[in-house]
Amino acid sequence: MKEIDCTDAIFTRFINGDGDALRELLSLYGLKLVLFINRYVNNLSVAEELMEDTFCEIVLEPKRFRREATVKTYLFTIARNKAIDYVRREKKHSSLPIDEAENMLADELRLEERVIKDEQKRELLSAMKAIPEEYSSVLHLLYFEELSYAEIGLIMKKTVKQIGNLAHRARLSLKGELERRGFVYEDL
Amino acid sequence: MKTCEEWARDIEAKIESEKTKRKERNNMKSKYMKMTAVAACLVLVIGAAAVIPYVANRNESANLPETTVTVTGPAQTDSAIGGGENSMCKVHHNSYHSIPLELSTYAANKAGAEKVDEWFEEKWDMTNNPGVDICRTVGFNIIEFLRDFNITKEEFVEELTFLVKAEYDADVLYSEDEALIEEYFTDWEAREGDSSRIGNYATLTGELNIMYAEKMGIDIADAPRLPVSDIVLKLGMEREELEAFIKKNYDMVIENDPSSKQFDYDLDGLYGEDTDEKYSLEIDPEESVYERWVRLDALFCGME
Repeated sequence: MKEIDCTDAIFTRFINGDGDALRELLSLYGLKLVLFINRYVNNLSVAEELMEDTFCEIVLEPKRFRREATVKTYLFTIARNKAIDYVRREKKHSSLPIDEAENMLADELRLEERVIKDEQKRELLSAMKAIPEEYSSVLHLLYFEELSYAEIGLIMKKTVKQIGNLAHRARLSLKGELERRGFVYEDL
Repeated sequence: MKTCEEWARDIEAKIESEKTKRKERNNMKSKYMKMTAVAACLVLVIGAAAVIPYVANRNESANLPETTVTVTGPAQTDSAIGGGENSMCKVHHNSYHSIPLELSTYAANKAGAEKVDEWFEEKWDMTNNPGVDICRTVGFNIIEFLRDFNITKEEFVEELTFLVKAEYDADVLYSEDEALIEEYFTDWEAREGDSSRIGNYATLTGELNIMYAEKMGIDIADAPRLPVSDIVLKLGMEREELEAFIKKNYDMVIENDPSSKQFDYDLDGLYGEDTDEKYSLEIDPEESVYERWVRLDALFCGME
């Protein structure tokens, strides 16, 4: 609760044009958002761009912020919308040259290491890339952002019950993927 | 990967750039609105049609719906005297201080584009005078417009279609009862009906036309006014994209006016099996461009 209040205050300062508040929000959520967006777009440069656009939208359309959402759910909601819009626009998947793709993969691993300290969780993250996008999004928000079903529902525009069902199917799917890779996760 | 500081600098630059773009776009739109009546007539002659109604908006928000004319003037008071930078009257509903495109086009056909343009120019100039009371002095309202262009009640009822009829009660407009008219335009939102929907639809169609012009690289002032269905079909907009566009617009409108309503848009028809027939892009030589966009927009609004 304390963290939310503090973020709220930073957010308000950010909306009012405080550059320091922007930097504080970026240090809190920048990398996390990039990682989350990357789940959809699979391109770190694009994910960074879209994360930046997320912050721009907040300043340019401040009235869209609904008080029932926390700053965190609001940020992830906009980020998800941006990612989905991007994917729709870029339906034709453009392939990257091999060396560029390798660099990006290395960047991605470094980013994951920075954001997720727990090695087991990183393994999870890697396996999540192989399951359907909607499943991986719900698990990402659940495990890595530690959001509640209600908060995830706000972000993904679904009811709590739908998120519950989705999370259940996602866990089964992830479990299958992990088993295929030779891991056993009792906690899932 | 960029550093946090680099992100922050990029974000600040993007915000500044977007604000500048929006400012330029708003300036362009204001100019565009001002030209509408003339453009509407000229393009009718050359086989296209122009845009959006004139609206002097009473809302103060900087994020006004795009159908508003922005007017620079002195600070606004609740007594509706004067006008802030982008608001003019807090007493009457927008529909009082606005002339729907369909009506201005009709007047231009009847009296000549120049006359209509002069009317707007004159009112426009007056509203730019500090301290001017748009309600009492300028006469920038639909009653004055009907009177100045001798548009009779019969013409109004018989010649004009849904965009005007759904918004206004002809009996009131032609009642010559000042108290009744005053009540009608001040108590607008308490009534049920299609009133807000028309204004909101004008916002939507205006935004779509602007987007179309931008995508096609056409100067907005030269762009023909197209019905929504034409834009959707020409750009190959997907249903989800259109729905998101509508939602975005109405989110904005509703913030400015919580009583806003919207039509039950014929999305199923526009994305159905008989779309090509129902919303055909083909031009019927028997039908004027003006008639065509009124017909198609009415169809899309479910008001055919």
